[in-house]
Amino acid sequence: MNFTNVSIENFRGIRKCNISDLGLVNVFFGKNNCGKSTLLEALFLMSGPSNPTLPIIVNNIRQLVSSSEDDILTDFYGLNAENEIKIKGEGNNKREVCVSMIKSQSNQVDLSQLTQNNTEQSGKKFGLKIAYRIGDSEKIHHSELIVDPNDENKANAKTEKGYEEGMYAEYIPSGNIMLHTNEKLAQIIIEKREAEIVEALKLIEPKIKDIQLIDKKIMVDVGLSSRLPVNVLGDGVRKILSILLAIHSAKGGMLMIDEIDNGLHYSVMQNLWKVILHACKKNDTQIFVSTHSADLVSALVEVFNQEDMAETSVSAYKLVKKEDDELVALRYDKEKLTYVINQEMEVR
Amino acid sequence: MTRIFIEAKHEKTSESVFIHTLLKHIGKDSKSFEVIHVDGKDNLKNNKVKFQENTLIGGRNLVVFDADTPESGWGYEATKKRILSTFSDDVKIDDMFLYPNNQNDGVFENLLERLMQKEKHSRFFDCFTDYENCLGDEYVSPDLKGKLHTYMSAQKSLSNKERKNLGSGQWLFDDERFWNLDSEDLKPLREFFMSNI
Repeated sequence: MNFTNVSIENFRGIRKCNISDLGLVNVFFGKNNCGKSTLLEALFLMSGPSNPTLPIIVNNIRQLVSSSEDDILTDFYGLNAENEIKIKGEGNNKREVCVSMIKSQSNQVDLSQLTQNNTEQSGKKFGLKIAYRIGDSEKIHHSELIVDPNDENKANAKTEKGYEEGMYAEYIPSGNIMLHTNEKLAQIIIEKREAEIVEALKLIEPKIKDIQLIDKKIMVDVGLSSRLPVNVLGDGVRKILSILLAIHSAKGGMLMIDEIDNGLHYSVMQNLWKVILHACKKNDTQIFVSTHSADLVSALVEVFNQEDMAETSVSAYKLVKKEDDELVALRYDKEKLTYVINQEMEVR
Repeated sequence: MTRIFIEAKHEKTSESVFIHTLLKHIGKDSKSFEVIHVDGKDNLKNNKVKFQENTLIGGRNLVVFDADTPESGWGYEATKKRILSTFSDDVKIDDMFLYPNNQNDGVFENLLERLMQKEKHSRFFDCFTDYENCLGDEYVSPDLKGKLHTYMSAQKSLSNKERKNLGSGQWLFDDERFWNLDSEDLKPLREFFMSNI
């Protein structure tokens, strides 16, 4: 498991946030606009600081499709570039990430570059600078993204040679759970790990004996004379399979899923958790999910109280945004979460 | 928002209905408070997040429990200590009221007993005293909870719907035929809520 504690400063609407005692499986719930998606985006930024396009990617998810200076500024708390974004993770993996903005009117323009690019636009460059430290090393790495002042859809990304990101992470925005499912399965089959997928799927459909990707279709063997498309087993199974594949793809790394309950019927929620708890433990994938669904949290309580699932470490947090924009993550342990669900208390 | 943590298990209990009715009676807007049903003193600790969350958003947390009695192992002082030691410094209890009057040992039902309209139903109370005497030592007597329940279910003037709702704790606390919410005995609780909500 990578991280047990995470702190965030100045990212979007979050001025400050400290989360402690993270588990392998982490669930966040809270009111609308409290900062659930922002929190997951911050974790995603922390996962890949060597890639300076990540802040632009998270903006694209928010429908900010251009890379204009104003759009980039939305990453910074209070739309103020002076507020550098700082994200820190601690645990078996350690990293500190600091994202700062290069503003077009900035006094920080590199004069040596001006002489190399003495055009009328050269003083108007803008973009992002990321400084990061990994593990116990004191060395500070850098990456940078400079947007073309003449064409905001183009940018020059500078990454540091000699640093290679060792941790795989994926962020799945709300409603995108089925994306790239085939590609992920194909890679798992190449790595000869499909038996692990079958083992996890057996938790929800014991008849499944085999899974294959045939002519861009995911086919399963359920003991009949021919294989069936996985869709035949129902939409729920297909969605759970997509999440399972994402967990396997992020082996040893991090997976963030926003609004994991989106489009999921409550009747399959226990199966979803069985697969998540099993697969995350098997792959040492640390998962972070957000949800609005009290049913989903209730299903989690049902599952983690089952004997065979009790070993996976699960943390659940209610997120509360204070008036001063500190996001506070109030942690429920298993006992307290079981209690509030049994009392039918609101978890949204 | 003021959160009121009470011992009752759920909203269909006389204790919960009483709190809601009293707060309405003293003019408190239902949007200004939320009653949290703790389901017994032992479960107070499991409400840690509910306390913390409310404090973070500027709300106040009130605990309204039974003082209980030394015979049951507790009592006003012991229960007060027990509640205050439930959490560490990271949880704030803004104020506390222990039934019946935030001073003596006892329970919620002791307060209710004092609010019953005894003069209007003198026959009931005379008969009930005879009944309790008649039971002697062979049965549970006095049985305050039984007395309160019988008091309401014996009322002939109840409609069918009102009678059916008795089981959900709807004991018509705002009906002066049965209860006196302006009683002096209720003054400590009324003042507690007036100063905290």
